Amino acid sequence: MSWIRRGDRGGIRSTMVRRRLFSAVTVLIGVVTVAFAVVHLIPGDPVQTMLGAGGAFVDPAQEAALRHELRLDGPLHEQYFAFLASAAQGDFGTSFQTGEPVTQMIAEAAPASLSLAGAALLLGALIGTGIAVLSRLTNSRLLASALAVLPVLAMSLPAYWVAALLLQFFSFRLGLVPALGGTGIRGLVLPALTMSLPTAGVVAQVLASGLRAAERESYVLMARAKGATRSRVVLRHMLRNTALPVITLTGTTVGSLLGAAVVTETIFGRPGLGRLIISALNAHDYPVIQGVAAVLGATMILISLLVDVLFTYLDPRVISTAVWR
Amino acid sequence: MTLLAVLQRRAGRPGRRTPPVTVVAAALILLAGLACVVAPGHLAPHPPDAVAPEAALLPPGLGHPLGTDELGRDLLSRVIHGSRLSLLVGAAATVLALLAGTAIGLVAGLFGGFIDSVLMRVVDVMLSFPALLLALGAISVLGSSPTRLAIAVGVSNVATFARLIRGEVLRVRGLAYVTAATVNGVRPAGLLLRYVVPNVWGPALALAVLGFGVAMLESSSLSFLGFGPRPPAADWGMLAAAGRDNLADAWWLSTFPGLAVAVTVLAATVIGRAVQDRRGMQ
Amino acid sequence: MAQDLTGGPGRRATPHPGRAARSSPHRHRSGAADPSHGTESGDPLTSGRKATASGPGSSERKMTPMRIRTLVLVTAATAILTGCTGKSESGGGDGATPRAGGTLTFATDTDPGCLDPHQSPAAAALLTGRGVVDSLVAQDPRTGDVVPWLAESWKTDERATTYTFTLRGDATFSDGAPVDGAAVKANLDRIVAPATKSLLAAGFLAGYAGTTVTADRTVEVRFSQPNAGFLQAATTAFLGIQSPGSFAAGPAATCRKIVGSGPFTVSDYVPQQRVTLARRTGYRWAPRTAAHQGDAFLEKVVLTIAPDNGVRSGSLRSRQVDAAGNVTPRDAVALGEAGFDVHRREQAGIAYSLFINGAKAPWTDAALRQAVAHAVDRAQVVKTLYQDQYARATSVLTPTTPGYRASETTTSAAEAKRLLDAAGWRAGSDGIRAKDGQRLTLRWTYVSPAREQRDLLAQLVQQQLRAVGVEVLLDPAPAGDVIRRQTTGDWQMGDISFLRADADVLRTVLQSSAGGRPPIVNDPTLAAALAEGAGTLDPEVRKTSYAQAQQRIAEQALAIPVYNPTYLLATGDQVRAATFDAQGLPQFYDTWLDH
Repeated sequence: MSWIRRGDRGGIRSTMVRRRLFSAVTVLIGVVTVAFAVVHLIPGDPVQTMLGAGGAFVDPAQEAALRHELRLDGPLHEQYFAFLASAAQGDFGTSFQTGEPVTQMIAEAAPASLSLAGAALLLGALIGTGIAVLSRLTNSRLLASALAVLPVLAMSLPAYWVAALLLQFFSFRLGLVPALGGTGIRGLVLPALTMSLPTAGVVAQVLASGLRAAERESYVLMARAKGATRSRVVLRHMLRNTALPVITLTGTTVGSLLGAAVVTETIFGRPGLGRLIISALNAHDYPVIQGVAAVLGATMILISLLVDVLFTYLDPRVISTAVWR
Repeated sequence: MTLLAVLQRRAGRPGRRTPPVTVVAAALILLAGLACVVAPGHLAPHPPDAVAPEAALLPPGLGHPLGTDELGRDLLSRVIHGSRLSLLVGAAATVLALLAGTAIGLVAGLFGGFIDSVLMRVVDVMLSFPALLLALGAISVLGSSPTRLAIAVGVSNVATFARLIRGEVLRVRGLAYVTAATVNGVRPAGLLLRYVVPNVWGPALALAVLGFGVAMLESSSLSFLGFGPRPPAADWGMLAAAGRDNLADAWWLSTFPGLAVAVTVLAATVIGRAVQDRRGMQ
Repeated sequence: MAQDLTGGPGRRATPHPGRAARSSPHRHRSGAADPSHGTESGDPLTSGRKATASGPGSSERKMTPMRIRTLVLVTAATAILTGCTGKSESGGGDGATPRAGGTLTFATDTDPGCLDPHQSPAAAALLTGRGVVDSLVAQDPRTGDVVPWLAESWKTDERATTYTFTLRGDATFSDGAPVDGAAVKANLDRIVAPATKSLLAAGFLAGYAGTTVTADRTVEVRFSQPNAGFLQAATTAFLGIQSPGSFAAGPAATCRKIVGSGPFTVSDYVPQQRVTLARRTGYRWAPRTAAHQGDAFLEKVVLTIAPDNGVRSGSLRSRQVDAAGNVTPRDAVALGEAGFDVHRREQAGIAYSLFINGAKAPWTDAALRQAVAHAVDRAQVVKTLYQDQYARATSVLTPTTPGYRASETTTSAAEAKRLLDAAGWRAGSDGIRAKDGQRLTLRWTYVSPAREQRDLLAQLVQQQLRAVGVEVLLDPAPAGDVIRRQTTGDWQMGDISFLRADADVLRTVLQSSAGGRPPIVNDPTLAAALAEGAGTLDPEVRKTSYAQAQQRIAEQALAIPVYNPTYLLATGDQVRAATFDAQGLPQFYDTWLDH
């Protein structure tokens, strides 16, 4: 905005980032608290689950010893503050099931989830861009309306269903990709495709309307006047100018990606944070549930923080609203 | 798919209007769904729980249009009866999220200041969890039953509604004539009734219809993960999950229930978009 | 209710090292079971063996029945086993010469979570651990006999409080350390150490008083109270001997990698994904129960973790894996028809049975429970859900359990209705019976997520009971919830199956009131019969008293047996010698690939 001088803009930006950081920290504490609260509200008792499943007969002395061992015998508020203190140092305790440090378990599971989410984002962006560009380029009305529905469809399909169909067809019928052993690119294809669809839908829609809007921009008319082909105009000029907001917008789909990971990892039998939290929920493994929930929450906070900051660079108008807010 | 992502559709100007044919088709699908909810007994060819071991795992055919499951139960009948759970849970969750979210959004937007910051911090915390995960946590705490499923899914979407409604309230408050009214001493309650509600209900409605689709996806995912209603009743997510064991040789078992979810969500999204285009939010 | 130790995600292994069941590895080819194998499954009653079967070279061992009995209960470890199977036919049946080399990929259903059987009670830890750690003694899966392994001989005192093992002396751990007396002592001491947090193995060492290394190759294991089950327990990987050098890094480290003297080493464990075992060269101390001596044939075993039933069988079918463990019966049939080999092993212990809480009115009336027992159509259940791959239960104990006596309640809806009518329960307008305004209802609490399609079973039984006017409300709940309700006695109907090759399992599971919990079945006559059986090791007395007990259970419908749980292993035809160990889990040492 012309009425903000360059220097001012920088100052405002840093104020905004500071505020944003402060609120991120408060939110983070809230996230950790919610994780703690949820875990302790879940009915059923981890000690009885552990002992009962092993031998079916719970010896009261053994139970008390284990309860003490797991630090589940203190008053709730003490447990909470102890948890908060160690969580601040990145220590979420040790798993009830395996005795391993939760932080380590998360560190081991995270790469699988991250590569899956990353691959899904990339694939989604590619598919979405493909749909948007094609819908701009095509002369067929039928294809154009089909391409207009496609993104909505992609966002309406349940992940578990897509996964089941893909597995059935590509893995069991055609044997193209392995259903098991999710390492390597080949094992990543189906789960990433499953998870990419919502992102593809978002990208396709936003990009398509962006491209439509760009149709009347002067640089497009200019390029046309110079005799550039339609596909060249779309690919070289319009796409480049509409892509940036799309990239930041896909940030909003990361949350749904992490959610979908729970389902996708379960059905494809892939390791990862989603599978970790489901098995922890079933076993009442408090530290693991808390740790994974906190880490996922923190990731979301970080992403939204990055997106916000990035936006101030891409679209200076945001600064004014941010300050006002 | 989170609601927020569903709403991300345009950068800049509104997109092309949805063709009327599509809207009509979507409306028909939702009506069919409604019919299933109201009178499943009349539409289903068989009782949903009628076990017929001799007819187990029949592929789709004349007697059983969608095939049968391991116990020989008619899949079409189970899908029709399942609609009641699936659609009602989706609807109830949406209504819950809408009411709670709107209340929070209105209060935060109208009063501003400290109340606003506290409420928005809470909303931020809730938004920091993937919706499915939040619902998963809620259902773990509540235990599984259709009502609790609806509550869990509803809770996980409250924050989105609150955030968007608050934005609308702020937009309306910023309108010149509303500012004028405030200056003239119209009290918050009067402001709410006279200006804000009429301006906000359109976008809220669009949100609700879109949110219904999202809630359906979410609740069926939870059912799929094993947090659904009690058997033998089964919603679509549970039916799809039950078919997983026989994916290789009984494709119809999870295909059709999943398709039912997909088609319903698609229809809801199309309608929601149409509403959004007519009385949309900016 | 559902203590279920036989399988499923997060399942625990049997607290019972001595389970070994008749295994009848029918080889399904083109849908037809080879009839010649049917004869090989021994009749459990005639081939039932005495406890602590006398292994060779151990003439000194004497165990007085009276001494032993108390202990069997404590440790849940018994040695009564039944006979079993020819194994050659499941390995290809053609007597081909085994070929070394190759990688076996095996899809398993459960992530062990922790590989260390000292710590973990999971069956999955046994599946991975058996090839890596050797034990002091081995158990013959065919006969149940205890035979030498790391210990070449052993003797026991009269009171079963001191066991003296003489080690073979030439065995080494894969890290180079010798398997000597000090190593054995370090292992046993470690298992009982509180820091190990052993959930199951320590239970086998009840009354452990210490180990003395009397000579380099001789150790004396002492107990403060008789522990007759110890020898049996010592055959399992739960009490397997690991390299003491690996203990220093702490229990969490051995969860990730165990070091033993077995034919395989752990080369890689990626949680929730796979465990890779690599062949160790220079292995020269296989027990004589193994089909061969020397190195294992397989170069590598990759255990891929795939909890999804459809994914496991689909992967086998599309040849992405060589073998799939715990396949569903339907998959087993389909895979058999598609030319895969299917190996079955029926498990010993309590058959999958339904229980009605007799302490809750109106179910205190035995006639009502009887009606339910008559109404449950077991034949329909096993046919519909399990394609007759699991057998219909004919007693609360499975036929492979020593002491089994058939005591079947006939399936008859008419009889069920007659009993209910006689008791004054009349059908209302919706078909559900009622009396004095009270509906005849059973709330069935079972563990979810269920395995072996027990959720479907519940729905089928629900319909069967509905047909005679009994309403069943299904109440799936997480395991922790189910256990809590059971502890407080707050349940109406539940289900159990329990692995353990001894009829005494009836007493420990059904009659236990540990921790103030009301017993699952409260019946003085049954309690007397079970106490009599537990009070002796005289085979004849035991047989009679357990027969009485099973009779009583059937008469009073204290349990309603439904099916006999069975492990189903499917393999591609290149996999040879796919056999089960004495625990009923697939073993890999003798397995080889014929490409």
